[in-house]
Amino acid sequence: MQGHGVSKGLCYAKVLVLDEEALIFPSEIGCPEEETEIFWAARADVLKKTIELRDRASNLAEAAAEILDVHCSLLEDKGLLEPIQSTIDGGAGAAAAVEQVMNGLIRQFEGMENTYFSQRALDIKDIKENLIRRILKIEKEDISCLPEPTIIAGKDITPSTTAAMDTEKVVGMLMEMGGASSHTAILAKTLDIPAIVGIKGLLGEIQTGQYIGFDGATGEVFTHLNETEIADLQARISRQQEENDRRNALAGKKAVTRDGVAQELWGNIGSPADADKVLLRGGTGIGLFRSEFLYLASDILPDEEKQYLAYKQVLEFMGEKPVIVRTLDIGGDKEVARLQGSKEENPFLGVRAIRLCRRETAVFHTQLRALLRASVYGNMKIMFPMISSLEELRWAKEQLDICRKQLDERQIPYIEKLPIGIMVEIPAVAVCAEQFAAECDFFSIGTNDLTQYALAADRGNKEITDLCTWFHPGVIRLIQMTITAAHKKGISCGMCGEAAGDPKMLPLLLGLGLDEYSMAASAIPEIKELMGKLEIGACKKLAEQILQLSTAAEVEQKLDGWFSSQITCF
Amino acid sequence: MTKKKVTVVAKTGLHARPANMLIKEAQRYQSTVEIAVDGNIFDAKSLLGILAAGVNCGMEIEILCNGPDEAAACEGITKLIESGMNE
Repeated sequence: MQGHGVSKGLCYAKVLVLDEEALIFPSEIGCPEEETEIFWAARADVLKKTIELRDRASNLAEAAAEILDVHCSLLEDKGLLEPIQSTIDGGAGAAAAVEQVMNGLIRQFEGMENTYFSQRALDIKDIKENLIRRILKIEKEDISCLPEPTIIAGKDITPSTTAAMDTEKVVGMLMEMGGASSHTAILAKTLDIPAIVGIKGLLGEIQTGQYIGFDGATGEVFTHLNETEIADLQARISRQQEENDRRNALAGKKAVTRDGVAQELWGNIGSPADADKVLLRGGTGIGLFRSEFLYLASDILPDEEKQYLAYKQVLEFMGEKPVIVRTLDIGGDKEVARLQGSKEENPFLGVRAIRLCRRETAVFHTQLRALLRASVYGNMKIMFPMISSLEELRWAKEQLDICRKQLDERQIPYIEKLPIGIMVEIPAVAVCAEQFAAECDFFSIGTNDLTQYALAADRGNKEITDLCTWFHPGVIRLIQMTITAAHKKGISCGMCGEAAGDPKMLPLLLGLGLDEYSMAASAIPEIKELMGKLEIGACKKLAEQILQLSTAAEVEQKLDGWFSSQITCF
Repeated sequence: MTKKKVTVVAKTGLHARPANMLIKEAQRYQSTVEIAVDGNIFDAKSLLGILAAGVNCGMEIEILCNGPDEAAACEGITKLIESGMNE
């Protein structure tokens, strides 16, 4: 089998197939009395578990406990229990009765206009699933604690699933769906876990418990290997480990070009635990701390304290080194049920990131207060995502002022002059970059979204991965315009998209004068090694030549050719 | 039967948390407790009933209590709704 390799590395381990398919109800059911007994036993069990969870949560987070208390009330509600009982009396199985009655309620709530009410459909869905799983005795796959190294596989592995997974034990990820820069792919890279996406027919070929191997660089999946092949694969895996160790040994060395120009090489992280990997691989800062993990990892919105502690942990860990925290970027393909209203036709063009925050100001304020409070523990910068207009940037800065005043009232200290930056990921912003540079302290180019928005090519759609390329001259020009505008206004311009860690792009970006490169920790050693072989002067000439080219293929060919000629010289 | 009209001041209306507080109060009484919203009657002892009523902030609802402790029930519910329920 073959897919798109999105995170490099070889692996060989037991596979766990995540079954997110619909539950199948038994066709044979007992008499109404038996089914009634099954239902009430299941309900008592679910209620007991929910009460336990609620009481445990009440020590940690009030909001979580309140939601679980609502679940308890629903499980005791005769408005729910009576219709289920009468459906069972009418001859339905316990599971089917729960499904039928609760689906009716879900539809009713989903139809309500006020989002506070329509969101209750999610609570009912949650309870429905718990009840049905209990009735059918089907445990939910728990991947937050795995007994042995495991490859997880699924049709689609959602960001909320990955956020809860045991990153120590998951050694590989395989998916039927998804394109090269889907968020799951990026996450795998950040965590340095080999991954392949877009594998046709994957779930038909593999089963939980089976040993399989794959190569995240080439996108090949190996099933039914014989003993020689297994030994061969394991030998390659240990060679890969040695190579990684050699590169990690470069961690203490500075990132400098061959002509002695020092460069900033930083890491992208998705949770506080990843910061360790960045330092281990020799990153000297965090160019992108994705704050979504706090929201994706649980069904309950994180409160100010929880967020503050997470930011503080990273800042203290990094010490003097800069940490750019990106405010909440939900929407697109990252879903947080508690925050989002109805399904959108085009989520990537819809209520995403800062747009969502403008609707949910309380949620945004909670995050900004947590960030300000954490700011005293290190070298923090705040970055706003999905900025498309100056009004949004100004609005976000005003909210920061409001939060400063709130902290003043509570007499809590924070750093007054935090550098404020924006993600440059919408083409219109790159075009007007000078106007934006006049009102913020730094830029960070998000090449994945900039590419998909500039080329109108969905980065998660595997049918058009060939179109979604940052080698397109249009995308390169947008990058160049952004860097030039930043320098004209005296601010720095970094890049935290995938292109920053692409060896082929490196000479071009050096030539365009990018100030900071932020990438998955796993890419840092290779990029650092390559930087040491390149000269700024030669890269500048190359950049000029590339800006004259007219197709993505020409750009890629030029970079390929130039790359091998430069690198083989040494 | 004791009846009383009251305006909901809770900012987000009678959604999950306030609705949960309301049913807990209602369940303390022996009397039946219902609310009338736009001519429809909902059981105030059922969370689904209250949620289905879809009461937003600023709406006027009528509390209907019937039973041995109806006066106390009506007063208790009114007080709770008027308090804004910490929203």
